Amino acid sequence: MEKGYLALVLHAHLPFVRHPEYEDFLEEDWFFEAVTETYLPLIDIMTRLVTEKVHFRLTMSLTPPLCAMLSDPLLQSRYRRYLGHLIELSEKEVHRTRNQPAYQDITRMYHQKLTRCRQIYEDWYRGNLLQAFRQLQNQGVLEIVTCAATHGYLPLMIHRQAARAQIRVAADDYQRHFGRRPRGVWLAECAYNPGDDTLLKEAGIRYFFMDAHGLLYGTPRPRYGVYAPAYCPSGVAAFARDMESAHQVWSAEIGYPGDPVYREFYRDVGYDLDYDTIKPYLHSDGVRRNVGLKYHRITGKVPLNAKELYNPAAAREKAAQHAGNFLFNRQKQVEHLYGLLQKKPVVLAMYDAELFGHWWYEGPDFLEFLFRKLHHDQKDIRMVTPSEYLEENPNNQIIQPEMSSWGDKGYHEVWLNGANDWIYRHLHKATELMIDLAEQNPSATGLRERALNQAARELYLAQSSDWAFLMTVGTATSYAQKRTLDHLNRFLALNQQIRQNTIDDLFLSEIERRDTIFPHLDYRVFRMTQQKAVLV
Amino acid sequence: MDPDSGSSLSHSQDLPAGRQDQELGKFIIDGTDTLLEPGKPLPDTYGDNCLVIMPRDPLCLFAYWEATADRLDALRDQAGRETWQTGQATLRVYDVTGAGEGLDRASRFFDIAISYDARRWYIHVPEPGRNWVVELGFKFPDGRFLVLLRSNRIALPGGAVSSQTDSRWMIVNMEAWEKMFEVTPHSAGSAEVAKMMAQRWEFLKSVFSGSSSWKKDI
Repeated sequence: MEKGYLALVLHAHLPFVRHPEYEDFLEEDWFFEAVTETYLPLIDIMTRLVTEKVHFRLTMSLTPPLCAMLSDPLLQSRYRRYLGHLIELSEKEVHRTRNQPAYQDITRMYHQKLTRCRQIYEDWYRGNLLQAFRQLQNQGVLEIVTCAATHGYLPLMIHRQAARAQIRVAADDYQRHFGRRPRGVWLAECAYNPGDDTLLKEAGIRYFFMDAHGLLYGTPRPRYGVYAPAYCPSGVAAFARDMESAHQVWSAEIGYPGDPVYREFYRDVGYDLDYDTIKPYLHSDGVRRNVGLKYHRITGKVPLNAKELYNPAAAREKAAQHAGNFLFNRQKQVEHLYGLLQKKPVVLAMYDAELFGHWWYEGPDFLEFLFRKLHHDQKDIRMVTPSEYLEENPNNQIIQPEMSSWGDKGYHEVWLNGANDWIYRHLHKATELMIDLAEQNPSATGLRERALNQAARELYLAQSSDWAFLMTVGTATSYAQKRTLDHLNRFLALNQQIRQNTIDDLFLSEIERRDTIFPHLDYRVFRMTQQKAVLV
Repeated sequence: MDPDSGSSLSHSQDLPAGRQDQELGKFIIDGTDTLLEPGKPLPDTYGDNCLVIMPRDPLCLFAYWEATADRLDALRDQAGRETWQTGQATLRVYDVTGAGEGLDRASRFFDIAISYDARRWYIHVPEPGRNWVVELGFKFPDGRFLVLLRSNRIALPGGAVSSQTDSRWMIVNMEAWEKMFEVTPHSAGSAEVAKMMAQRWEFLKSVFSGSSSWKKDI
């Protein structure tokens, strides 16, 4: 009999980046890289474990923008092009390094992994990866949860209807993709504001995740710390992150991904190969960038030109060791907690999905080893999904959790500081206008209805917390600013056209073509239900 | 091989491996700025009179504001033209914890002298876990404080383990929950779904009213 549970939760999210107005668009690579290095390997692993009857459980958020991109025909065809190029480059590299045994292992590894990607993407699923995730969920090994509709940061929305609209559209989108209502939600950035749980309840969502201090600082004091979920007064359950398992993976000092044997992210053939060789595989502007083939290992605190060659077998062996170490620590932890609490603890190990594979290249190997070891090597811990846990343990303490997020310093500063605070007055104004538009137009049809729906889409896209995040961390800042400005300007233009009855069909058609998220969106989601448009 | 080409790589050795940076990993890309025209600027003002406060952390909130010329003129008339010149733009920060809707019973406030034209301000408060309302106004040497704008009300988190240790428990039945949200057939029109959802919501509200059998304290 087990002494505790482990719930592994991966948050898979990318902002909606799709630019049909450009033949070739740089930031779409975020999506293509994540598909290649994270989503396809995860599907591969889960499918293999199911076949081999290895018991495991994984909980993943697939956010509505990510679902929109995974199911978009344009991005699917662009992904095929991207993957095709990369496979071609990897073939040439196998050939180029044919007389360099030290490189052969590496170049062959890439070629083999990339062709495997094509097999899964093309032969198994015909480009429809949501089908893969849906099947895994139906097989009972994967629990897919949703997120706020466009990863909107709820505590910084001052209109309750805006937060409600983020949740409601997300739940409807989930149902469309996965054929049932979502049981759980990963609130964007785990940002929770007391009372948000009632919005989840309205959408039929049973549980959400938060950072440790959100629950630990809840009222009354949680009897079992973060090792049991609590019910908010609404009856919605809050699961909190275990910091010990978080640190083992995230920590700068002791985190696994920084091991010298693992692959170095920053040394890439996009910079290393001579220009004529690499040029066909760069973007159309011909600027050298990372292309995804990386032949060196982290090595240590040395400059990039002193990095040593990557050894795939050694890296894999290290991933197995790290999985063993992670499991050993969880066993010790669970044993200790079981003794202390006189109750089976549930340990929530929560990470960004893209950490595994994209950033920590060996991350998927680590997960596969971990799943296998949990199945074969021990009996102390059982993997569960939050739903399974709640079914087996329906009796839980009632706690009002505290406002919190999993961002730096634990609250909202990453998304509210001098680099990005200018966006909020515009977002709030647009929200106010959208609510008013929905109130004034309860039954629009035809062109007017299209304009109202598109206005709502533009507001949703402007609300993505990703833009504020990128402004803070200073990467792709111009792109994040431009996206914020573009969506708000499109919203304001539509707002004016709708109010003045001067809707420009050409303009509307063009932005409908570009910003295709939520094709079934009904702007009436912004109507207040028996409430006045007041600040929360 | 030319390992050191590309200046954007030179900083990589210093990157810490905190969570935020790993989240950042999926966004790493260089040289994007050349591809795009900057976006059109947004309106400088919306012709509103508003003061909005937002939570940042247990000890800090953010305020932004805008007011129309008419509103400012009216306040100037109220102050008197000469007195107006001596006014100091001020944020009056009320601790309204435990107070009702109005500000009358507010236990205390403190003032921050600001530049009116800044239009945004980070307000540091002395104590976590309190509720706040802010007024933006002008303070005059004769002691008068004329209010231009009043904010919404927010609660900041306490940031500490609760001293309250009594505990209540509840059982939530998964099946009952799921039954309320059984999968709607895709063929149903959106109006039907909306109606059905509204009915379910009514049902949900009644189930959650607190007296039903599956919810109990032990």
